Amino acid sequence: MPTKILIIDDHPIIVEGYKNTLLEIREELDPVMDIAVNCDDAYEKIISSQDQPYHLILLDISLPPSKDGKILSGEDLGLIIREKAPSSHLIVLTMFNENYRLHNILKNLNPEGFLIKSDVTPKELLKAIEEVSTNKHYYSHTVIELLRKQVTSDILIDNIDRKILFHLSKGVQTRNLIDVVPLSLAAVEKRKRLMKEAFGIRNGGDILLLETAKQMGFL
Amino acid sequence: MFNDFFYYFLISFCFLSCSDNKSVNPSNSNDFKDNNYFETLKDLKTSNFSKDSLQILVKRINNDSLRNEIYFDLAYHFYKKNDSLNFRELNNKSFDLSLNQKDTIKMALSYWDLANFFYQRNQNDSSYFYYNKAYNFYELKQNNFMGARMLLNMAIIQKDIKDYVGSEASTIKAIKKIKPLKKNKHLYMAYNNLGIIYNQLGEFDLSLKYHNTALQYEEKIKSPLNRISTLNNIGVAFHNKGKLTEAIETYKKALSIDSIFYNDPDLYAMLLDNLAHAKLTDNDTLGTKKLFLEALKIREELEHEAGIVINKLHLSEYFLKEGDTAGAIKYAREAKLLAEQSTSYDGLLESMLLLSKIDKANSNRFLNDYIRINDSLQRKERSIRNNFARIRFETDQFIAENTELNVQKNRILYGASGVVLFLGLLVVIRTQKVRNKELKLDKKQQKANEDIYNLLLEQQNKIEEGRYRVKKRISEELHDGVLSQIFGIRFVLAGLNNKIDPASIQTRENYLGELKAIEEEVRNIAHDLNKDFLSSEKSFLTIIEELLEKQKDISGFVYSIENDADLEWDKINSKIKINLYRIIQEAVQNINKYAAASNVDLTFEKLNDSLKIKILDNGCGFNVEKSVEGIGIKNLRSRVKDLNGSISIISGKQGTNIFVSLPLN
Repeated sequence: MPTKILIIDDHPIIVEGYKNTLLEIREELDPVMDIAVNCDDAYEKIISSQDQPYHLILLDISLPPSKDGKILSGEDLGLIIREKAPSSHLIVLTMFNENYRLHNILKNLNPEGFLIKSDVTPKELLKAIEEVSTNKHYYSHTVIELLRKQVTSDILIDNIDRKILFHLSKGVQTRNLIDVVPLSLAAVEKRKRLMKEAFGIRNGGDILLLETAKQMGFL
Repeated sequence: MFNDFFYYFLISFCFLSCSDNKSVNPSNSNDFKDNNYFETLKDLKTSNFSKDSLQILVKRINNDSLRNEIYFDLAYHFYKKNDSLNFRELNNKSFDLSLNQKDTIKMALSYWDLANFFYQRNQNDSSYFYYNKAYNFYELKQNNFMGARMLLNMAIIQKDIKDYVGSEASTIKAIKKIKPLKKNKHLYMAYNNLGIIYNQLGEFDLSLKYHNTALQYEEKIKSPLNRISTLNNIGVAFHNKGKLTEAIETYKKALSIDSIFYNDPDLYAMLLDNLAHAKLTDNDTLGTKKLFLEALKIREELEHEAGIVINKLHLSEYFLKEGDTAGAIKYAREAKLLAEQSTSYDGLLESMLLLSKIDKANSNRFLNDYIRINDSLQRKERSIRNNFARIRFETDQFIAENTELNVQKNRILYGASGVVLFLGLLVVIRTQKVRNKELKLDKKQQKANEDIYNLLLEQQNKIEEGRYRVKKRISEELHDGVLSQIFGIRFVLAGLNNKIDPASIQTRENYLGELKAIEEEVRNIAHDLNKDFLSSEKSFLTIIEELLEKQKDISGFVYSIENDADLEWDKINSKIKINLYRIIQEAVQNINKYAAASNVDLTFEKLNDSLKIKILDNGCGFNVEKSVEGIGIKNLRSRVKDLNGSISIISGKQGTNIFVSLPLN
């Protein structure tokens, strides 16, 4: 039985790469490939294949938003996939290696396969596909590192904290954080202080906070 | 430091006071007051007085009031001795010292002594004058007793010059003052005077009344001579009233008092004379001649001229009554002669009258003389009375004027100080108002400055936001675009790594081309980065542009802004930018208000280390020298000055040019 695979990525070169790699796959799997280069395309293909959903979907998180603005990114698309094609196995590929984003993707999409592009070689991609097709999970080593750190850490910080750390690392000023988190400036400052305490930072600025957070795997 | 100065001052002060003591031998001044002073003074009084010895005495004393005592004492001594020259000199010296020391009491006493002195010499007007002066001092010091004593003295003088009305007034005034003080001796003197006055005025009943009152006071003071004197006067009053029996009785009563002849022979003689005269009038000639002659003898020995005149006149009357016309004429003529010689005018008149009665032949002549002399006497008396009245009036007027002036002075003083206070208050209020206004304006300025500062900050923020956005964009571009592509290429190449078939080789070559494309993309991104950083300089100029954009619609002008590319607005001090904004704002507002210009050109130029700004308009201009500078232009100048810059304004019919130069370091 052929394995229906949908590749969703907006860079043609990458799509080429994936196609070539898939050619090396185990013959038993007999891959049949479909390609979508944007959200709208992907959405259409998913909807139209609902009676015969794809076995495998290779999803790139960093996609430009759909034309009507309803789907803002790969993450949104991922949610739609889970909704419309719950039986499809999802392998997420992303350029991001920030803890915060990965954490969100994990939480929201809970993909069967999770690959950081900078980790990946063709061999590894093949392995991931093979594993996932046989109902196993495959996470690339950065993701595993992240999980390890999280599990071994005694410190618990919530989503909002992560968001704050993330935006700080992007250079957003503290006073502008109130635009991205649903908190007042005072509350944001409090969270930062608590995080510093939690991380064991006595006298440190934001830079020290971010470095420590990175070390601990929160960023 | 101030403490040191104080100590030096204190110490030097002690030295000074010490040295003061040294110049006067302490033993001297103390002993002097107790022993030497009295000794020496006694010497001066008893032995031959010399001016030099007085000088020596006086020189040894430093104390002025002590000196004054000496002068005063000596003056009185000479007054008693009748040494008029020395008296006057010392009296003057004493008075001058008293004047220096403002010792009004001593001054009054000097006046009193002087008045007494003049009275002794029958210089009634001078005497009265000085009594009056003394009286004024006592009135100032509200010393009623002494004032009353002066009044009494003046009353007596007034009686002497026959100003009976004046004397009456002075006496009554004196009595008013003395009565509550119960000074019996002086009350006696006062009532005695009144008795005499009323006698002269022909008010015999009043005269008797007051003489009797005087007698009552005499009983309190027990002064026999005064008693006799008053009794004499009562007798005269009775005689004038026609009550001869009572008169004779009174005279006899008076004569019965002890030792009159020894104590006051003149009074004794008067009593004898009066008694005899009363008896004569009563047609009782028994023993009257003897009495008359006895009285005359005493008076002649005493050389009491006025008394002798009257005595002789009485004798003339006696002889007339006895029918001895020759004797009568003889005595009458003798009386007249003596009266003329001694200027005893009353006696003179009476003698003329008597002679006119006796000497029937020359009657008319005597009567004419009488009338003539009487008239001139009256005139003289009137003039003296007027003089005295003038003295009193002038003094009174002087006092009144003084008081009036004082009151006026006080009023003026209060009025003036009131006005000054009021003005002061106004000034204070004004300065407060002005200060308030200044503060308010300052506040306004502050606020305006704050506003501009905020504008600049906002602009800064916008720049930063802009930069942030740019960074984000670039990061995204790199991340999504370039990174993904490189990944793609790597991925493929990795897959093709160990393949050497021609298709793979071709694919590899294709992807090498792709790598080149990526290089190009990266270069572009870098170039973009550069360009974006440059564009952030527009900040300050943007604000100025916004300002002009807003202002242009008010009077409808077209504007242009020229900027020097060498100007790094980012690096220019905020203070300069804020003030510059205000300067341009002010200038543009002026243009809108007054110039009615259609074109406004703003130029920024960097020359050496200064920023040169030109604001040119083509409006109607104004006369820079003539017109008073409004607050706007003053502000301009002050701001430029604040920034250590220079400003020049040239204006004419074609428009106004404002040149500002600001140093940039």
